[in-house]
Amino acid sequence: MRIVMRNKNFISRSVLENITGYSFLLPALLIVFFVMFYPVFFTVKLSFMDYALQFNKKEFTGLANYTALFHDTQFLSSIGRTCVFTISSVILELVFGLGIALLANARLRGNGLLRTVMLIPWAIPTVISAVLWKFMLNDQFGILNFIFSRLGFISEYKAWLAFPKSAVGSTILIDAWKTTPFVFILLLAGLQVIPKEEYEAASIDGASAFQKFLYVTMPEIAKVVFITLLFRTMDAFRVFDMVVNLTNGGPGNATEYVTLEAYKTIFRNLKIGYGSAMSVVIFIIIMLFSTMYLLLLMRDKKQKN
Amino acid sequence: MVHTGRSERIGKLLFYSAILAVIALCIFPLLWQCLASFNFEDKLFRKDLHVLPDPPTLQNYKNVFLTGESNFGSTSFFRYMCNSLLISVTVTAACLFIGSLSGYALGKVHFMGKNVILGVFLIGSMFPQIAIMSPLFLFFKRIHLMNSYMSLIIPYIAFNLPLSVWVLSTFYTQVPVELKDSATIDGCGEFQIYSHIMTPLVIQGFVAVGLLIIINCWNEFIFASTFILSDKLRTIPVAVALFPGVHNTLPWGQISAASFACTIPVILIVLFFQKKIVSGLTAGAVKG
Repeated sequence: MRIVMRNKNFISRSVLENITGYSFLLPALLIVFFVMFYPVFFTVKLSFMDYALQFNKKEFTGLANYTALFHDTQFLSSIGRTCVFTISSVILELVFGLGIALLANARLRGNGLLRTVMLIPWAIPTVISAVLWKFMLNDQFGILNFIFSRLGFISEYKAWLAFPKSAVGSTILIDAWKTTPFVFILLLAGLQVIPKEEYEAASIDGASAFQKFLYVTMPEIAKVVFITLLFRTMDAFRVFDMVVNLTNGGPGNATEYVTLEAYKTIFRNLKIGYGSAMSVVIFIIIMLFSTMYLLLLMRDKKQKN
Repeated sequence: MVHTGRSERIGKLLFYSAILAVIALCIFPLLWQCLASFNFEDKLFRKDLHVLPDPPTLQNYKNVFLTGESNFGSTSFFRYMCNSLLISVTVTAACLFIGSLSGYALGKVHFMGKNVILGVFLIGSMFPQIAIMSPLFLFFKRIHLMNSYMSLIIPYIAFNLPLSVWVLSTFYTQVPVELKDSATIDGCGEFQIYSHIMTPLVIQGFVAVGLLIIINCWNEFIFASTFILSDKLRTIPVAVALFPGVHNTLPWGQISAASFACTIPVILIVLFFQKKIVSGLTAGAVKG
């Protein structure tokens, strides 16, 4: 049992607190360091090498992997594809997430059910939902073809996942379906913080519903929207689970997104050095976004304090 | 007055149909999976689908969970569920313990560099997993931990620690300082304050974070498919993804049965603990 001196020995008290604080933090810091930070550092090291795992032969090659990457049309186009996917998916999620959040925020019956039901796509494990959609999009007995042809949208069954454009479109729509709930939750939380008096004041001033949205809602949720946007952009860029189980990069290369490309290079082709260089490029791109996110959060915390 | 009434009614109609459309879109895939799982397989492989199983059957569930005609050979799907459960629970327990220690320190102990530490955790959580995989793969291979429960448990703990620390520190910060002060005056050591006084008060936070961690572990795929190679240790996502069969010969009825059985627990948990989960998500992502 320690008796802490309150007035005397101020210096030793804070030293004691520092030691206590850090010793409590030690397990977490150690794990995070050894499982996350050190491997990343090691990946960077690997990216400067030519590592033939089969012969356990490592050879330092400097920037050779990176120069090769800049000329690798397959890798560059996979970055392009991933960007297209990310932008489309995030826009869809924001638009629908905001729209549904506005619906759920209105004070009419059906709200609670809507909020509950919206969580379902998010709750279904990603792999299971990818396999499920693959089943539903099947060209011979998929339920989607069944419904569309009965409703008259299409004349004959289509192989949605066998053609590049529709395959890419499918990945975008399915990702949006899966993660709009997440956007919805965050935006709804942001909407619910807006005090009702602001809307009432706007009504008194004669604002229409649209004007209220533009001048009351939008400014208040701007920060939440931006943070959600950053978060979702980082996540969408890293897409893997869904794509690998839906199309596995096919047809051809159409849905070969960047993480999938790097994964196949490392674990199928066993080009560990080259794949590590790809991973580093992905890492840098992601970190650009996360730095923005961090800066925003830090600035917000400072404002609060 | 009549004008207002009419446009109001149209507005309400649009509103309710929008809500209905959203609900349908959310539920429909799950509903189809449920229906397909209770249908005979040969009824599913036809263009003129009978949407409602007629007659409904438990054959798919029998094949998947009891051995015999199961496409998996001799492994019942229960095995995969147990693997997932074991890993999820272990990881959650570890993260809650380690995370609460850190959360308490960040929330209630005065020391220098708190923001830096929080930043470190946050940055760590944003590392793309592909950048971590190959070194970990090589390392686990070298120390012969590959293809074992630990090869997943250790990375999963690391991935879920930032969230745990972040959310729990928010909860610990909200506990009144006076409780700590009076305990200190009574002569309690730091660890006792943590274990006997502070932690019981943040159980809400434990539940919120714990649920998110369990869901994360239950769903994880990329590490599970790379680090675990033997069938007996497989987790659910990998088992569903690797269902034996090629394109149009895949046993969709059985896949639906296995998937539905594994999805229902998660859905029930999410629906039941809705409020807690949402508070965990928003605390982690937005409020910081």
